[in-house]
Amino acid sequence: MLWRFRREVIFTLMMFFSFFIGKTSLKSNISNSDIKIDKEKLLNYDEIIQENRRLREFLSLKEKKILSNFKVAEVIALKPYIFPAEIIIDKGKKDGIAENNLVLTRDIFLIGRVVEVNNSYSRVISIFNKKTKISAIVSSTKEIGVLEGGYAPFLLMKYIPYDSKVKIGDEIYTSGFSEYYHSGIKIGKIVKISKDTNSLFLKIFVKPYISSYDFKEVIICE
Amino acid sequence: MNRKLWVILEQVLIVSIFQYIFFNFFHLKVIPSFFLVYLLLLTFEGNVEIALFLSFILGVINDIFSKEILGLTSVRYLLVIYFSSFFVVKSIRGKCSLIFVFSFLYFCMLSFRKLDESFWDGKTLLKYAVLFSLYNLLVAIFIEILLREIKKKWTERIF
Repeated sequence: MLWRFRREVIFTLMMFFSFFIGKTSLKSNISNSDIKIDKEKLLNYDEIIQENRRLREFLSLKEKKILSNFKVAEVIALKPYIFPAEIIIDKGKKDGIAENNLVLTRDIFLIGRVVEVNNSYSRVISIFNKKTKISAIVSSTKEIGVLEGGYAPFLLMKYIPYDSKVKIGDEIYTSGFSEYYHSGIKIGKIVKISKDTNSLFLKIFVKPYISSYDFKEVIICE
Repeated sequence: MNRKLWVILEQVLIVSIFQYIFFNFFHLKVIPSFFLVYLLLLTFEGNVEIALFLSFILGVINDIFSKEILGLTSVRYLLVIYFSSFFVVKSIRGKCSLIFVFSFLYFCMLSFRKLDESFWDGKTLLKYAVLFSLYNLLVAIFIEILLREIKKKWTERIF
């Protein structure tokens, strides 16, 4: 009897197996895609929350009247990625950015200045760039020297007299005796002082306050 | 029986290789189904039980190739093979015309989902279904010759 309907029996059996395999594979596919979506969601939320926090900090600068006239730009490229000498930002001529505008972090630490402005983006040279020379002042002794880039991760402070009373941990600000930089912008603090007997000046290494975390959104001001 | 099993195994292997090559190296809009043609030819020769069993196996292999949900193609193959098993044809012309018809039906069944998601309209579906059936027709002639050669080789071989 069963042999007579062998075609139908095999067909039913195979159909059953196919549905069973299909159901199992569908279940595992759904659970895998759910896990992926959840992970993506979490990553996106984290990034959005962090961005929101950073932008709120920028807003608070205006509210606390620390800075009044500034623009916020997003960093779109870093060259090189670690201790960047050059930064590309997403604001340009059409956003009111001009050459020699200052670039600061949201904590008002100096990053660099704008050197090239295009219509929709601008190029910034950072304090790590070897072309950078900034007139800077030591917080404790008020002595003025020149801060130079090209010594990443540090900056080199030159022309501080040999007999100066500077010490490790002293803060360095911009002096204001410069064509481009206003006075009082924090740059970093002294981490190493070396005395060269053949020179009249100290060799002071300064660790900048800026970190890789600061190269996301930056402040542009005149 | 033992010889028949070897013949079928060799045929399945060769057909799978062709299907794999077409899946991966020929960037056609519609890929002919070697598996479907082979199963239909087996059915028309009267090997319905084997064809039904192989429908399941080859369907799973096809799903692995095309990264589909496992078992989906098996269901389609099983349905086509089950309904085609009611036809017994011996002539090449009869086989070809039935392969054309069943390939057309198979493609329509395959594309229901796409039609549902409004990827394709009815006219496009018809165009590709005819193209798929024509490709399968050519494949059928090729496989028919191939199967005959394999059978001949195994008949001549002495164990």
